Amino acid sequence: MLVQAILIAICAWICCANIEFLCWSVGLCAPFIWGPIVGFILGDVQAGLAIGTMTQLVYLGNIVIGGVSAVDFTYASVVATSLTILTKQPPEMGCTIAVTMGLIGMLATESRWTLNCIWVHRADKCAQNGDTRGIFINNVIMPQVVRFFVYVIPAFLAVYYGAEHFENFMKVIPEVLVDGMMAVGMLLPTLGLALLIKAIYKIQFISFLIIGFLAVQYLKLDIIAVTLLGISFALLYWFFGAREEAAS
Amino acid sequence: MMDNQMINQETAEQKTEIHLRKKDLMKSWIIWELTSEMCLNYERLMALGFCHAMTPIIKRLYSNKEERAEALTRHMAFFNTENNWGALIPGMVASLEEEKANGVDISSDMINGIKTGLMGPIAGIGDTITQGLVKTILLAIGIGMAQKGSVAGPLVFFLLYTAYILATGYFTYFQGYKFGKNAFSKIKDSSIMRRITDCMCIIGLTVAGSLVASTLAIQTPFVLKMGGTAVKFQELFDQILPGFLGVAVTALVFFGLKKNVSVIKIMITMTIAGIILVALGLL
Repeated sequence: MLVQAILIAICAWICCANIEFLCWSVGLCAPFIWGPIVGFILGDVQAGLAIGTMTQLVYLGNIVIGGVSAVDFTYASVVATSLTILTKQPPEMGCTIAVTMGLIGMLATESRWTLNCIWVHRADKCAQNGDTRGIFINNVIMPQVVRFFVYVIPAFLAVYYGAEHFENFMKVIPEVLVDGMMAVGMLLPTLGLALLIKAIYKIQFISFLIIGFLAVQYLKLDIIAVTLLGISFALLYWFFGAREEAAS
Repeated sequence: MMDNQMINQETAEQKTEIHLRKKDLMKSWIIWELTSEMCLNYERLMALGFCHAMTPIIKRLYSNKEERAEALTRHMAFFNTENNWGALIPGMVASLEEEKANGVDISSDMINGIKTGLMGPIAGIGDTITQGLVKTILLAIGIGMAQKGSVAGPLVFFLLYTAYILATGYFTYFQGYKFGKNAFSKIKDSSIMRRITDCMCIIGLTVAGSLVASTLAIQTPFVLKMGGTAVKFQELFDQILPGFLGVAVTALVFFGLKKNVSVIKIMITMTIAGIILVALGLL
């Protein structure tokens, strides 16, 4: 368990490290990416994949603007998936656990965003001295120290000590509540989809939403086929549509 | 003030011109792609990340400590954008710094003005395209594969998305450097960006529609017994429209969001409603 807990803690660190070109996928789409990896570490890849996929649907439409998110993805992915697998809960339950952990994890997000201000002030002094090395240290090394305390250690503790307590906790909850929480896990993806649709919605394009739905519900096309269909609509629009623009 | 500027210009003319090398720009771009959001904070967001990305440029262009200090301090100002399309800004600032170091009259205020002026609009475009559209389409493909139990789903998503991010970042950074301060006006003037966004919306909505059908599995076990006959509500719904409940709930949430109901409120309502509906045997 010690080795697994350490590996999970490393996963949590990579997830929260904000390495720019990686953070878009491993940070902002964390449940989907880390699900199978965490599953692999804990010995059940398929469970991890199912939990990650289910959870990702909830956050599908979550567009992080200005870097400020209402969810902590490290807790909602690495930590929540670990706990779900360790306590052998079904994916629907994993989804509810992820949303809860994502909200609890906001404490970590808040403290990271606040504590990092310290390094900016130290960097100000380095800038005044023309010290580029100091800039590097305060931008790269010091924020990792903060992450170590608010993400890496909690993730380790959750997996090493927490799973048992979490399992006992889950056992005490009455059955109606457990079934209810699973149902909530089923409802939550609608929020993800609704957020997504809202983000890219334009009234004149509503027909494409309906066509996409029909293509899968009635024609049973798979996702690649639907994407190609969407691309061909876009090409039609590009070449034959939007004539009024040329006129104006 | 005038005297100062003139002296500056004279001394600049005496110096041989310093040019940035491809290596410096590559270094700056790599720092940008690795660390620009590492020290995100409430006070100045990406300021430190931006300053860090500028260090290879500043080191090349300014040799004495005072000039370096001035340039570094200049880039510690508040900064926040979408970093893929926003890589245009450090690219552009690199070219401005180069001209400034070679004696062109560019003030700190002008550089900061350009940074601040561009970061908002670019973030708007970038967030919509990157997170709203590219991410969604690639996620839809990945999730489709993952639902069949294939680990290749997340992997394909990761590879394609990362490739998009690196390609966009590289392209915009070096285009930004090439065009200098005219870069954004070239994009902004034409309506091409709007048409691209429209096309992406069309693809995005088609895929979103398909996701409503393929990913939601809301069913009701409710059976209404009237005299001798039992009406299974799920069968009834399936006759009207397969996946009816998924569509209905999504539509409900969508209109809630349209009316600016907060996400947290919706989540709480869902949790309470879910538990109550299960207790009543409706879900």
